[in-house]
Amino acid sequence: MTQETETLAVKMEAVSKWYGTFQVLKEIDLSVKRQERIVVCGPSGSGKSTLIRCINLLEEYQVGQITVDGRVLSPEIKNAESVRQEVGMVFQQFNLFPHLTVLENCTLAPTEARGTPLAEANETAMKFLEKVRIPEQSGKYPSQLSGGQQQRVAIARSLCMNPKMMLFDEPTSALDPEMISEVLDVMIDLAESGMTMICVTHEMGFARQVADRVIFMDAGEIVEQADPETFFGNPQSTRTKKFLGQVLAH
Amino acid sequence: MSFDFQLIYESWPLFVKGIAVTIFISLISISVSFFIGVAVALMRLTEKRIPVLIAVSYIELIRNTPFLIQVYIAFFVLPAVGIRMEAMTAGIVCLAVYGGAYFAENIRGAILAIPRGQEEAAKALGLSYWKIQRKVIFPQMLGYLIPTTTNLTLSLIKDTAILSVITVPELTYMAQVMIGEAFAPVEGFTVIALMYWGLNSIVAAAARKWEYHSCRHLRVNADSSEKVVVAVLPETR
Repeated sequence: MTQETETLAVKMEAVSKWYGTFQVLKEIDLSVKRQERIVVCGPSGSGKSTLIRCINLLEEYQVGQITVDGRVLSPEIKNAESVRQEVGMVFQQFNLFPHLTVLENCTLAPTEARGTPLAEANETAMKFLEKVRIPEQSGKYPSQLSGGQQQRVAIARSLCMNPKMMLFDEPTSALDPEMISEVLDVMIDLAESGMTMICVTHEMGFARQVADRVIFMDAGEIVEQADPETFFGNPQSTRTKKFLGQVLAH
Repeated sequence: MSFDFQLIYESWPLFVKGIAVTIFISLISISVSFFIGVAVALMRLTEKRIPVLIAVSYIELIRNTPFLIQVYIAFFVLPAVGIRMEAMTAGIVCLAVYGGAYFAENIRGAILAIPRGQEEAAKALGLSYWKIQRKVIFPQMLGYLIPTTTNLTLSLIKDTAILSVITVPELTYMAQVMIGEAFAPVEGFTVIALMYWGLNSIVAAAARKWEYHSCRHLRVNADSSEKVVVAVLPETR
């Protein structure tokens, strides 16, 4: 483990993944520094969700190496849970636990996975529910909340484990348009507080405002990556230009 | 028509013994068939050829033949191939094997009803496999499991009556003994009908209570929440 790897949140080296005979990731090389904010964009089926799902071991990969926070992720890694506890993830479909209240959703993992005492877990949960601006909903069930509120609870739930980085898999894609900004505002706050973030999203305004680097993926490869100004102002590849033309048209 | 209450009073010990056996058989068979159901459901869900084949064959064989015929085969046909069982044992085994096929499908349905995202979210939070099953998946399954397994349990309790044909001394058999001796079918069948109804009513009420307590999240009225919709003008995005 070199000095360089120690300061990296994520390092992916020549990572390839197949679903059967279909190659979904093609020799991905990616380094993410601590506190860096990355946005990954690209057309459907480009492998961007698969990419971030490999980082918290929701997906396995066949070739290459992924190092997260200094730990090498191998397919036979024992104790995958300890890696996942350091990497928070927010899903497109929220995936809140419907049989638990908002507060219980947030305290389940700290109490069950880490043995945190309930009183402490409750305090932490209320703190993060305040950060995402819905502390008054703590006693409600997910079915009683709007989509935007549910997603913010999902963000708070992940933050309650005090992860070292957060992964977002199209967090606003399932939301009605009027609720997108309330979730993006929370994500912007989070970015400004110094959290390492990797976001798969179509929200280019968010990317421009917050990202340190924007990555464009297509057909399993990283086609182009650059800081937002360069990426949006002067894209190099024709594929990138085509994609931006489609996405920014409306 | 006269109803001979004196006869019922005199035969009461017979009925009590009968229902005790009914309850005994029900408890053992239904518990065993639940575990058979879990095992077969999991085999069915593996998507590997051999476990799936075994599971499907078992389920189809049991579901597509009458329970009465299965009981006759266990008691009269199996001895021809060397498997001899006492009436009571045969009764318990038959009911367990019969119930297992139905439990398997109920449980498989309940497992499939839980969205995959639930397991993924729980995994992403760093929970272990067993914690996920216990705290996230299983509580959600109860909403589906309680109604379907209650139905099945009530059915199986009633099906113990069929075991009377192979002389298992449960409630229906005892009634037939009493009717045979006293020539009183009206009294006999009326009383046991009421007793079965009473027993199942208790089971059904307990299940309703259980469902009430475990499924609070399904009763919560989504309409009662306040939703604020903010219109966002295009220029501000």
